[in-house]
Amino acid sequence: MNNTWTTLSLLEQLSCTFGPSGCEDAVAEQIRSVIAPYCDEFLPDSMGGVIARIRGTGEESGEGIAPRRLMLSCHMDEVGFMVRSITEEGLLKISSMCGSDTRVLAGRRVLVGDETRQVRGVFGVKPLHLIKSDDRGRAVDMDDMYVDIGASSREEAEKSVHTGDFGTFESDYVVFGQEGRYIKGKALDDRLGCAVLCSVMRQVYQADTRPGCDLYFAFTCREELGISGARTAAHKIDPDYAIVLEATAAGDIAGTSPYKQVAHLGRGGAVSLMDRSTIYDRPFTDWILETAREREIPCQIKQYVSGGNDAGHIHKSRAGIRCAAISAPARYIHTASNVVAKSDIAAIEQLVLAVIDRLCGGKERMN
Amino acid sequence: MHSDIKELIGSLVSIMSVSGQEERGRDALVSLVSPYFDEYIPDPSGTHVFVKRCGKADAPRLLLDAHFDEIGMLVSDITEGGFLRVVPVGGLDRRILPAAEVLIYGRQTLYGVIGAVPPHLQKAGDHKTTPEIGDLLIDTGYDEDVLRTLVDIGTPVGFYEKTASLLGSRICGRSMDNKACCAAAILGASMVPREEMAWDVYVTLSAREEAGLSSGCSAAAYRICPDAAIVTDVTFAAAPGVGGDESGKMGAGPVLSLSAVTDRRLTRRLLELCTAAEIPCQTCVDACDTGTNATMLSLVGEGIPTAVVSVPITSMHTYNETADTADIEHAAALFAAAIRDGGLYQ
Amino acid sequence: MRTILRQLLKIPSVSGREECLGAYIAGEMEPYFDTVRTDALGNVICHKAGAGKKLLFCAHMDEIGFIVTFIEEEGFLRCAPVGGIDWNAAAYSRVVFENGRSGVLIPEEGVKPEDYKGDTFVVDIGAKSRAEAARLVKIGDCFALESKLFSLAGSRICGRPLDDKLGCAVLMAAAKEAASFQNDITFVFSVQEEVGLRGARTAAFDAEPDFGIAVDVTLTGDTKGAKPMAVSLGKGAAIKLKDKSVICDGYLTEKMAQLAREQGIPHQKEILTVGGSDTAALQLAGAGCRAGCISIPLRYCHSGVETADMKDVQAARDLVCVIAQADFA
Repeated sequence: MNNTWTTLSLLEQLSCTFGPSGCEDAVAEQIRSVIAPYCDEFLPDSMGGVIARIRGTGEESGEGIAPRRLMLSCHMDEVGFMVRSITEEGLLKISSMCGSDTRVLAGRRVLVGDETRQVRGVFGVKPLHLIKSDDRGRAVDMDDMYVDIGASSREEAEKSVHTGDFGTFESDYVVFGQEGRYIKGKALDDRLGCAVLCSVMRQVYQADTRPGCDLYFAFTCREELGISGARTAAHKIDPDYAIVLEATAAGDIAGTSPYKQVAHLGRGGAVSLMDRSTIYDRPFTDWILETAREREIPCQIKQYVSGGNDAGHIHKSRAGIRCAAISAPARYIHTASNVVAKSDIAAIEQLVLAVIDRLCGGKERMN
Repeated sequence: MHSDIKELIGSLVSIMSVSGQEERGRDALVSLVSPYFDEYIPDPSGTHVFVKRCGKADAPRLLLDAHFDEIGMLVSDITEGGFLRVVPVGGLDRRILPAAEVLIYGRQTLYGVIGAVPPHLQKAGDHKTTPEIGDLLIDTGYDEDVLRTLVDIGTPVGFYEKTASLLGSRICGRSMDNKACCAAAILGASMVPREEMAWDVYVTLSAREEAGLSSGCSAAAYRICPDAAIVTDVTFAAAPGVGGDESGKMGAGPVLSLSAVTDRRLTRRLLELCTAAEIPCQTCVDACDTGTNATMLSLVGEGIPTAVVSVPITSMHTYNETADTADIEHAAALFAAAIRDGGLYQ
Repeated sequence: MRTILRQLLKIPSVSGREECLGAYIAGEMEPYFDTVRTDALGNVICHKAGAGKKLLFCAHMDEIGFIVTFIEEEGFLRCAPVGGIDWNAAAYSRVVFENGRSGVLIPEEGVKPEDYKGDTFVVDIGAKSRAEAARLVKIGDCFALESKLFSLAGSRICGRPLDDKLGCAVLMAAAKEAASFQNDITFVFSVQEEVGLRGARTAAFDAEPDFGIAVDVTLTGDTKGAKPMAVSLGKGAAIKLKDKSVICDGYLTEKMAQLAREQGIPHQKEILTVGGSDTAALQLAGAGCRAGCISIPLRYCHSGVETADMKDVQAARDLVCVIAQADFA
């Protein structure tokens, strides 16, 4: 890959790559080739993740805090499913992974296969006309759903698909809205974190100054399953501080009570205080909020306790790690149509760079 | 070499190992199993670790994990009349408890029967529900004062049924889950001559799987730091009411788990070994959780590439789980092939 | 011991916000240990070197409470539970913020008690607008039901949060005997137990003990309509065999019971069918350790009127001291 990419062009490319939980190799391969010029080395990861290091100067620098090792983490996987069996008729029965809502699957176009080959399919449902009127308002049961890849028999289907194959949405990357401010796509949760970290690496690596501490960039697997490669990565890296870049469910849509809206598109990265997996380190979180304020980078506080992310694994590894999380507000998360704001992605990137800059001793060197 | 797989399973079953009590049978287990291994390492977690070395310096380490514990009960109260109340340890099926025969592992091992209300004393409709475990009483036949000298709160209780033969190569009895797989792991490791081994093999007969959390295997694995791991446990065999793509077929060989939480390259390699050695095998899909130690094991330390090889059984978590010894022997053959295989994982 | 407890109850410590209590405890423990330090998550870890086995005792500092998530236009606060809140027990109660400010926790009008959950509650701090409320309280601030302590008949005490400031008081009282501990002793005052046993895990990972013993509270079977459970208030320290999160180590629990018998310390055995404890985290951390738990029987756990018997608390302290001095194989 040449190095003319931008954060958004990389996001488009990563978003369209096949990478459900447990089958992230294609995403990992792309990320590795993108960042290879911008890190000092890769660390092996037995879970299939990508861990890259930019070495620090080793001097104690930093304004406010002075970590030894800072881990920046995002996850490569996206929500998906697995082929459980193939029927006589050549239809695929599936097991959902990571709590996909069946209502967002019905009728959807999907890709089925692994990192090397995929075929297209459609989530079939019984036609409306044939459903009893009482049942029309009811969500489709996962056991009643199937994927049709166009095969007319099990034998034909088995030429393209095997049990144990993975599947995920097929969904274009679309820029839309006023002045093209929003992006719609699949897997923006959390490929946007991946794209931002790649871009951050390029800028840090090419800058004149380096922070005192070593920076570790972890692109992890299996976050959506709740049993995450971030845990083993954190054990390996042994950082004292970690920042998780994520996407969080934004509820800023008509009809949602204000107190349940969580975060708003266009107001910058959402910094978490507490979610179901983690109570974030308060001084570190305050330090990040202060950084945003001082550098006038848009940023908001996540205003609801919901969800969880890799921080839940990272903060409990080894003897404990101080964690913060910055999330892009994303509407319709875990569907084929995640919607995020371009400006939030830019704001998160700026904020992460500002954080690293302050660790360099606060020397202005950006732009 | 143990001449008879049934005998080995029977011996393993006879060693009480209700979750949390795995250390009580250490001496019996060590004398039974250690002849096939170079070293026995007791782990403080209650896990029993048996090591067989290939003799090469800096050899990679393969962990072969079979949980050693079994479901059971703990005495929670001693009542007047010489009855015991119990709490379950692990996922106990309360439908099978009334009139079940049990062994109470107190200062001496007592026999007991779980009480059942006879039909003519039941209220209408009682027979349609199963009693809560907390409402059941074990009849020991002892007076309360004598019983109190033999049994304490926390005394483990297990089922009575020994291993027995059915037709052909099928067997039944308590704790096929997971003594059948313990036997497969022991057999597999013992059948490979040292000079043919590509790995140092650590067989962990692990503690506390049935109680959740996989704490026994995780602790031992953290100390061992293996390069790869195979977890062997039981899975559902097809039976009336259990079928389709959620079960394996008994007698059709070990079941390899296809899952997003296990290592795909390792699983693929094991399937190739089956083909090469003509070992019958089958696959099943466990999308996000294998329901075995593998889920936690893969996350130990810096991460351990892990695969799952299961033996299909019927009537899981009853005192008459049934298995086919041919499946167990084929699982053992697969483990032996893996131990010989230097290309298993790089 | 009552004096120690009273001091501990004065300092709020909702999970994740244990800094103030941690600083207080660290200061109090300084004279009795070789080192006292606070780790990344906020656990206070006190260590005294010794020739025997490495023993880790752990009591959690945190209490259940609430976190402010949103400020409504009218000045009401929205909140989320931190730990296992019983909303029925919490409704219409006075709550206190870390800065001492008071509020009242009120369900929305018309919500039936059986439908109570976090989203149906607001806190009224007396503010007349969002702007006024925002000057007094920030999103992310924590609060808890009012802390209190009073005596009931005999040696029984009542108040909150006795879970697990009783355990902390037990360890602090035991620390005064530290000169006699012959084993290598670590006392951990842990964080974030109520939200998932988080602190004990990282503390145990670092300490790598041979034996890990939690000191926490347990439920009892001696209240009206209670589920059968062979633990009663006043019958001594409870030696845990099992709870929902853990099966304790057989060797360690047997040893604890034997020591209690030999020293005449009132004790009982505990099998808890609901709830977990730091014991599970001690057993799981890193390469694990032999884990057990000394429990203090507590009625009405997680309510505003938790009730304990000081005799049990004393027995727990005595048992900690005896274990710390004992010979282990």
